[in-house]
Amino acid sequence: MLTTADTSSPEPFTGAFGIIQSQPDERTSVVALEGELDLGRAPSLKWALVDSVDAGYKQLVVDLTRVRFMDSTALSVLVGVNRSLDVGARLAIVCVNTNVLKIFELSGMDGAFAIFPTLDEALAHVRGHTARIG
Amino acid sequence: MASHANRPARGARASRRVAVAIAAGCCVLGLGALPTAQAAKPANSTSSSAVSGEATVAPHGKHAERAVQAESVPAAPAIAPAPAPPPGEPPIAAHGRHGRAIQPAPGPPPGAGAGAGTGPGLGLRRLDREPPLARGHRHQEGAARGETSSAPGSQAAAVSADESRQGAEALARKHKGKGKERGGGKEKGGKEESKESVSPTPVLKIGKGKEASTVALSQETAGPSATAASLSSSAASPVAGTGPASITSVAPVAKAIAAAGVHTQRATRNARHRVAAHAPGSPTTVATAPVALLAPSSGSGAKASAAARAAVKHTQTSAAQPALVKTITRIVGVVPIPVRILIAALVALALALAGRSRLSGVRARRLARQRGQLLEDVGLLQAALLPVPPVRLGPVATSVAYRPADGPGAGGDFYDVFALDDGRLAVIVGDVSGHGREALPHTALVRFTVRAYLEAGLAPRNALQTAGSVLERQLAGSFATVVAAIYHPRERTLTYASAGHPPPVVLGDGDGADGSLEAIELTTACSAPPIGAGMRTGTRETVISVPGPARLCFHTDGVTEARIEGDLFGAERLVGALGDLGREATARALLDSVAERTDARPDDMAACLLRVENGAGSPAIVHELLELDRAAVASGRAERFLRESGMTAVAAAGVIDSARAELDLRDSALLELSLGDGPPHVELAHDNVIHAAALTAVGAR
Repeated sequence: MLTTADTSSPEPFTGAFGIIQSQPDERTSVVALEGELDLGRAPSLKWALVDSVDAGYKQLVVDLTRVRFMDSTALSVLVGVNRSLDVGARLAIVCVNTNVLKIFELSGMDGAFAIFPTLDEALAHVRGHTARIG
Repeated sequence: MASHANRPARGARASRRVAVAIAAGCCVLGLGALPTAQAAKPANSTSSSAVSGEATVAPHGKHAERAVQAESVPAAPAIAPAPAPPPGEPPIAAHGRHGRAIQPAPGPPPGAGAGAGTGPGLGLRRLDREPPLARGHRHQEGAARGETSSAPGSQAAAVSADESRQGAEALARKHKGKGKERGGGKEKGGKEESKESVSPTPVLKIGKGKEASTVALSQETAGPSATAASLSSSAASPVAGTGPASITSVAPVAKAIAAAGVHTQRATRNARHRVAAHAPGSPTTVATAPVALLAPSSGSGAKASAAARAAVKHTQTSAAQPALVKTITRIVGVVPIPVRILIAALVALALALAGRSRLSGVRARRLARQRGQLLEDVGLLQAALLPVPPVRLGPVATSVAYRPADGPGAGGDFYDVFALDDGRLAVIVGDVSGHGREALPHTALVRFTVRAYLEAGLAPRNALQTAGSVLERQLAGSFATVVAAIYHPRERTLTYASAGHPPPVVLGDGDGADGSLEAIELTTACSAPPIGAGMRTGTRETVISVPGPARLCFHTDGVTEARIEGDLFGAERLVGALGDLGREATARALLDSVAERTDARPDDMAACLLRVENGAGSPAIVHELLELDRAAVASGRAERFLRESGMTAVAAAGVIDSARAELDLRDSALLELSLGDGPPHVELAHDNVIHAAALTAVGAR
C-alpha cells in the first residue's frame, strides 16, 4: 500500500503514508514506513510487525527514514513490540528525522531502542555484527 | 277468494326466489339449510317461501341427510316441520340441525322432486313440540299425496279430523271451500311447484310426481297437525285407529285447513286446546302417545328450540345490518379477486409498517434515555478523573481543562492539582496509552498512585520511580506518561519529574516592559521512560526557580501533537498561543485557542495552568538530578544531556569518565548538576539512598 501525497488536502489524516515490507534474508524483516505515522497509521505498523514476528523473523528493522513525524501512539506500538520480542530476537530502528528522534528522546524511550542513522547499520546490528550504537 | 289467494301467491313467488337465492348462496358457503329462515322472516306470507326454500334446498344440505331416521314408513313422502312462528316473531325455518327430523326410510323415488335431493322419503322436522312454539312441516312428496298414503300428511289430517274434530275441524270445515280450491291448486301444483299461498301465514304445498311441493302449514294450525302427523307416523296408524283410507279421506281436510290459513293464531290455539281438552279416549291416547313416542328422539327438544331461536336472532341481526355494511359488502362483491388480494396485501403491509414504526419510536425513546444515563455516568467518571481544583492555592492561580479528541482517540488523559503541607502545590498530568473505556481504570490507578506518593512526602522523581515499580505489573502491557510537579511558594521553585511525558512549558511573564516572552529551554535528553514501559523510570528531576511572574503550563501530548497545516502543533506554537492569550489566560482558553488554530486533534488535550504572581525575575533551571546507568553513558545520552545543560565538551567528557568509573562499581550513579550564576557544577554521587529507602518503604521490589 503506497499512497501519494496529497498536499491540497487540509486534513492531515489523509496525508501520505506508506508501508513496505521486505525480507533481505530468511531471518530478517524490514518494515519501511513513509509519511506521517500517527494514531490512524499506528495499527498498520503494529500488524506489519506482528505479522513479521509471527512469521518467525527474529531480526526486525523498522525504517523510519521517510517518516515525517510520529506521535505517541506509534511510539507505544514500537514499545509494545519491543517488549514482546522473544529472547534472541532483535529490533532496530532507522531514523534520522530530528522530529521523530525528538519524540523518542522526549519520551525517554531512546534508551529502549537501538536507533541507527542508516539501514545498513541497523541490519548489521540485528544480525549481531556490530555493537549497538544508539 | 281468488284474488285473495293470488296476491299472496305473487308474494310467495317473489319471496321464494329470494329464499332460493339466499339458500343456494348459503349452500355454496356450506351453511346447509340454515339460511332459509332469513327469507321467512318478513311476515306470514314469507313463511311459505321459507318453507319452499327449505324444501328446495334442504335436501342438498348435509343437514337434511343428518335428519334423524325415524321409524320407517313404507311411504315415501317426507314431512318436515316448517317454521311456524307466532306473529311478531320471525318464523323459524326448519333446520335439519336444529329441528329434529323424523325421516322414514326413503322410498323409491318415483321421480325426484325439484328439491328431493335426498330422496322422497318422509322427513319430519320438528323445531319444538311445545304448543306456542312454532312448528312447521316440510312436506315433500316424491310420490303422490293421496294413494301413496303419505302417512304424515294423512295422519295430520287424521289428527285434525279425528281428534280435533270438535274444534279444529270446525275451522277446517269453515275453510273447506278454500281447501278444495287449494286442493285444486295443488293438483296443478303437482306439475309445477305450487305457488299459491292462501294465507299470509304458512302455506301447505304438496308436490306431486316429479315436481315436489312443499307443504307449509299455517303457523299454529300446522303445529298440531304436523305433530300429530309425525306422531302418527311414528306410532303408526293403529294408534289413531285410522286406516289409510280414512287418512286419504281426511288428508284434504288437513290440507284445507292448512291451505285456508286464514284462521288466526288464536283460532289455531283454540283449536289445539280443544284438541287437547276434547280428546278423551282414543284421541287422548293418540295425543299422548305421540309425545311418548317422540320423546326419545326429541330428548333435546328444548335445546333444539333454543338453537332455533338463536338462529332466528342471528337472522334478525344479520338482516338488521346497517346499510353501510351492506353497501360495503356489495362493493366488495364486485371487486375482482386479484384486486382484493392486492388490497389485502397493501393493508397488511401498512399494518406491518405502522407496527414497525411504532416499535422504532419506542426503541428510539429508550435509546435516548439510555444515552442520557450513560452520558451522566460518563460525566461522573470524568469528574472523578478530572477533578475541579481550587482556583487559587496560595500565591498561585490554577486552572485546568480537558478537551476530548475529535476521533476515536478519546480517553486516557488525566490531571490533578492539590495542596500539600507547607503551602506547597502539587500537580499531576498524565496520559495512559490506549483509549476509551479500557484506559479509564488505568488512568485512575496511575493518578491516585502518584498522588499518594506525593502526599506521602516523596519528591516527584521518587514518587514516579516508586509508582513505576509498583504499577509496572498492574498496567498489564499498557503504559502511562506522567509528569509530577511540586511548586514551593516560599522558595519559589518548581520541582518536576517526568516519566515519558512532555515537560511543562515555563513562561516568564517578565516585567512586561517590552512584552517579550521567555520560555525556558528545557533539556530533553535523558528523559525518563514512561511508567509501565518495562524500564526504570523516575530517573531525572528538574528544579526551576520562578522568582517573578510566570506561567507554568502542564499539558498532554494531545496539545503538541494537534495537526496544523500538515504538521504538529509543537511546543513552540504552544508558547506562542500562551503569549497571545496574555497573563490572565486559563487552561480552557488555551485549549480553545489551540483547537481554533489547529486542523485536527486526534488525541485528547489536557492542560493545567499555574499562574505565579508577584516577585521579579525570570524563571531558570537551577538544578538537575540524573540517575545514570551504563547504557545511558554508553549510548552517549548522558554526554548529550550535559552538553545541552550548558557544559562544555571538555567538562562533559570529564564527567562521563567519572561516571564510567563509578558505574564499573555499581549499577547506577546519581549525577547532580547545579546551574547558577557561575558555570555548571556537577556532583557525582553514589546510588540514590533516598530512592532505595523509598522503595523499601513501599515494599516494592
